[in-house]
Amino acid sequence: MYDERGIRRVVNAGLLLAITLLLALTRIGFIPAPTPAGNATIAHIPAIVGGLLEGPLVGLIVGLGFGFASFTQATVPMFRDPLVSILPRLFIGVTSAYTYLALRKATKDQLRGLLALLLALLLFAAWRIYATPSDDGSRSLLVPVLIVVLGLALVGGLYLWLSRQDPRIVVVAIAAAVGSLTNTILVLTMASLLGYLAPGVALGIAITHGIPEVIIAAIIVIAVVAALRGLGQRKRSRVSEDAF
Amino acid sequence: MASYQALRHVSIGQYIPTGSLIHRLDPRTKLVCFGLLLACTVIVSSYIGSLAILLVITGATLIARLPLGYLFRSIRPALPFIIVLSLLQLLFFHSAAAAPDARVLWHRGIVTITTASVQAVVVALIRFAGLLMLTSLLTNTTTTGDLTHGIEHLLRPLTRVGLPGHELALVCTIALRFVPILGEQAEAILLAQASRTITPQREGAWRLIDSATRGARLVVPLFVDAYRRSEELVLAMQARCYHGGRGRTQLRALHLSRRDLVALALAIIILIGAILSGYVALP
Amino acid sequence: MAEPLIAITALRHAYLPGTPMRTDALKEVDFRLHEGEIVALVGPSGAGKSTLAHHMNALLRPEMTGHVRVLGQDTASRTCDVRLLRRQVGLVFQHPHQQMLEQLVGDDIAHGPAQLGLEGTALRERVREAMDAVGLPFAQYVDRQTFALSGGEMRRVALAGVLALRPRVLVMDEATTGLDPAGKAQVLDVVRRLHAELGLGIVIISNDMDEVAGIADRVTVLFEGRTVAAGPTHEILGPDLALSDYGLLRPTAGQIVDRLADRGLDLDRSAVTLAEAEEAVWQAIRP
Repeated sequence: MYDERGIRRVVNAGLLLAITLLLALTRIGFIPAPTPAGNATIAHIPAIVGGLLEGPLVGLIVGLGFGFASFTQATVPMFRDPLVSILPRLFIGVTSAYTYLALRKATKDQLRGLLALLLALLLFAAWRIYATPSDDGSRSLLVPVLIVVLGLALVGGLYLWLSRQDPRIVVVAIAAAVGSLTNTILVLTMASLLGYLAPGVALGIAITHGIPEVIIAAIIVIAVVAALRGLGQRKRSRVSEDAF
Repeated sequence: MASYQALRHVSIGQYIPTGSLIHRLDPRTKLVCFGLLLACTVIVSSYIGSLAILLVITGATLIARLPLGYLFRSIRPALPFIIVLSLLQLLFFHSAAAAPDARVLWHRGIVTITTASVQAVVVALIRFAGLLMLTSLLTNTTTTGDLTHGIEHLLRPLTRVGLPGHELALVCTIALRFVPILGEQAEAILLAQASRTITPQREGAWRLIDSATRGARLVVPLFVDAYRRSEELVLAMQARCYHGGRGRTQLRALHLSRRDLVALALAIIILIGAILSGYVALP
Repeated sequence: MAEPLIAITALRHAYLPGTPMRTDALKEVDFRLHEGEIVALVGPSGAGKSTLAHHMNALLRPEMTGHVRVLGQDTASRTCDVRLLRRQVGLVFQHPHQQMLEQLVGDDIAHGPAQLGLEGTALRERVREAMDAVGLPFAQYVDRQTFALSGGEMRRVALAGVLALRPRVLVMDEATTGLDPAGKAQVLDVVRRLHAELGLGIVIISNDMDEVAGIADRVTVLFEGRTVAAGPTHEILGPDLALSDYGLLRPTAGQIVDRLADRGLDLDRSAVTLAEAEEAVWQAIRP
């Protein structure tokens, strides 16, 4: 802690925590989005950025701050439960950090391989869900089809995007998505484990609320990291001489 | 529009000075008791247990002379949500695995109400009320400065096991100090960007992208400003030969008094009671 | 007399009314800007200058007493086209990084005109025109990162972004604060040129009396939320008004002639610029 890096981490953690509190405690932390609640939170973004840029420990601390702020602001019993609002939030920064660390040096080909693997996993999951009849003997068709369609769209989109983009940006996007999904999935898992929400409802919320939140988080985290680390995603302005 | 100025005044809990016994407790005591009682609310799931905890917390809130009405008025806007969510939980969610010996009260189609689900919902509501008051007990009776002092003291023993206790407290201090500063920045950014908005919002699918870009436009300058300040602060700390937490003295020292020991003892007893109640089959 | 571009009468404004944190920023303010004028708004810190500026493009609306009329529209009225006013009255903020909306300079300046529907070559030419007006060479700056610019450069990008909308009024909040002398001179040059070539009405908020003396036609003095003086530059910055009552000083040129007059030299004390002071002293000491 006596060295510059240690001081820097403490100070950055403090400032990211300050931004988190500002976002979690005021209206600027919620932006209108096509979700059932009408809003998506962006207060988890400093935790993701902290994990990405400063490491898992900072991500953990900022995530804890987010959890606590969310806990004190909670107006429904579900979120007043610290196991739902605080515990899952610890992991937002941690998962983003490790994702980023793992993929940071990846090349385009390696990332493409990863996408292919992801697609294979999704297809496998869809097949398993279809192949396993539920308690009353029916086979659900909707969920597997949904997974296949969304999976193809997602992987396809990412593949195309990857081919014309700096791989580091894609890695940041993936790490941001992982962080945001950690938030959504862990919170909803805890909520259903503790009996606040039925698993079906939780899954529904995860999809309708979680997906827009992931998109928003990815866009914003990329913009922040680009501004802070000079990772210019576009080198040329739209009005530049050779832009058109 | 005129509410732009509200961002710099944001706080987790407004300090409400009533000069009560609770206010005069050492912040460390309050933090520890908060943690202990929080654990209690999480542990108990019986009617009697959760009511007992609620009683204790209500008693403490009354001793602290905190305005209960003000507290519960803050959740009034969310009341419909609470009712709807509780109803959903009551009607639709019954996990046979969790409470195999619950008596079924009403069953039709997908709606199943058992004694277990009734208990779950009622206990959740009791717990919710208790936690509302408990958080208020902590944040409304302690100034933020005292809170961070307390956190730092409590985290100090961690340094002996290699964890950065002092540094964690410093993180809190920095954060709390910068919230109003960054709040002012955010106000100014919102204002300046509103000044450049000359067309109305796009509809349809574009709304998601538009929202994200507007969010990014607010947040990115905020992050850039925060990082700029962090660079300055790091330099300032190095210039003053900051070398960590060992051996640092405080301007205001904290002292434990008899009140604190009594409060702590009570909290521990309650926690033990809560744990034990789990072994006794209580209604 | 033609209708003023901006007419503010008896304006009152309080932040966070009804809370313990209420601040009465403006108590009784009158302000006028006429066609083709450069008006300076001066006053000590906290006098309410920025708050007043925010009323000029309808960012803030009169919620207590008073009227604000900008370019023929009453900003308190429900039918006021606020977005139009934001276009026609270009407000340049004190801290330009708060106004940046894009990562790249070209994109940021193009943001406004693009929203109006300009695209392609027309958009590029509009951006180029704005960048020329502020002295930023197009080719050199168009692809630069906005957040990596220096203070002075960022300020000029902010100004260009506003000019790209071809406003009728320009309001510059402390546009030269924090710049080095060369930077200040550059910004003032731009302002003069814009005034001469386009005939814009310009409001300059500043605490630098020398700067104000060199450029403004009229001066309005704000003190503790009230308009305490308004008139032609020479009248307000002249020897007769006790500016020190309001926490302000005469321009350096004015202070020199005041001091010399106090020592007994018989000279014209109405000088506010360096050239006028030179002339006044010369007239008094030459044999």
